Amino acid sequence: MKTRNIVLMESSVIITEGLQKIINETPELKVQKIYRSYPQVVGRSGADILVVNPKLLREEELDKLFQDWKRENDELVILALHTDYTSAVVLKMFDNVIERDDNVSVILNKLRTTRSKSTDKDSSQSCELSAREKDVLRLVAKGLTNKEIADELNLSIHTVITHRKNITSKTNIKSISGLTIYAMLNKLIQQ
Amino acid sequence: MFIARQKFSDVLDVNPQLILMLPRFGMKLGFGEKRIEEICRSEEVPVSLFLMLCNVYTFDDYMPSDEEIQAIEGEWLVRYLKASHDYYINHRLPHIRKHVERIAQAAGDIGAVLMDFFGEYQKEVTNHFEKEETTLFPRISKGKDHSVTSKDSHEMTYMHDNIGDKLSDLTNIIIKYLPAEIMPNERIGVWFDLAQLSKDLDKHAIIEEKILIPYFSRKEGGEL
Repeated sequence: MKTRNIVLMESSVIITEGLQKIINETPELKVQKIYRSYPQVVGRSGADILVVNPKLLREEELDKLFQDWKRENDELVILALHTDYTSAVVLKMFDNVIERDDNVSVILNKLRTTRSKSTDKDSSQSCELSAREKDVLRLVAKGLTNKEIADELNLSIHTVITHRKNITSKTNIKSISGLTIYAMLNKLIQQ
Repeated sequence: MFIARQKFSDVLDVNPQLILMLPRFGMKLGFGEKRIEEICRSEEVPVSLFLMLCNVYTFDDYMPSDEEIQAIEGEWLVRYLKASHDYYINHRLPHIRKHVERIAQAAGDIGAVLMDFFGEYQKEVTNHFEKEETTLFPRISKGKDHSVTSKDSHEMTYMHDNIGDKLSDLTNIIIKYLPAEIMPNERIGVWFDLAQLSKDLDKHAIIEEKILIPYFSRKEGGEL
């Protein structure tokens, strides 16, 4: 199994020492770097998981955190390390939250299984489907496979899959029959 | 975390959903001021399993340890799961269907498609539960040579994800995408039903995947 690299941002040595001990007992996880404060410049990190205490950041810096870190790798998982009171609105921005009182198996489970939420770069774009996404959706609703859609629209299968991912993240509808109803309601296809 | 000497009525104040535990364990209302251990004892329900499920239902981060899982009464867990299936198939889904039917009738051409979608979902849920009850549960209660395999567990997770996705699609369509003027009050009403069902089914899936499967696979010496 591929090792997943973890970057920690936490001012407390007591906490990072503890976390490191827990993480390093798991072969597939590795602490790669520890920051004591929020770094001004973010270079290429190669990180797969970022564990950050939100209290290291001012609220207006949070947006920047997600932009900076997900730019390089939009699958990057960002977890909040929740030690002091932090508002639920802030915690909701993170992919998951490690609580101070979590036991070892809960912490490891959160590190292992959390997936990145739909990335921030989507939120800067419109939530409306693009013209190309609508083309793909029409054909999905007609029941075509990815290969058939790629041939029909002269796209690579990879591009079709990307469009489909974007359609699902924008509409929040996953099943083909659900997407078909969405397409009908938006007059993309006739019944 | 709930403990055995708490009053069940206090537990319900924390999580009203737990009222569903009673019929699933064959327990009755009218428990007055009794503590959890008292109602369990008088109905001959194993208190540790009852508490474990109440805690799983209420605290998202709670998961019993392997030792606790191995110590439960497996037949009671299967009985609980079957009663839950019955509630979904024979009570909850028909109830929600009535709401969706009213919305569909007001939705013009799209109504028939919406009903098809709901029908498909209902059928998938029913088939999945029936399959568990006819193929998985009997093998489990037979013991040794009929242990749970990793294929069972993968298949189960796949179906749970699929069922969850469809329910979320249905909710999104009804709340976000149907034209505003179609039955707003009915839609707001069904939203609560759908949200409750979704939460209930998520916990049901966790109980099957994280408690039932580990309990029986280790019990029978099967490998996961």
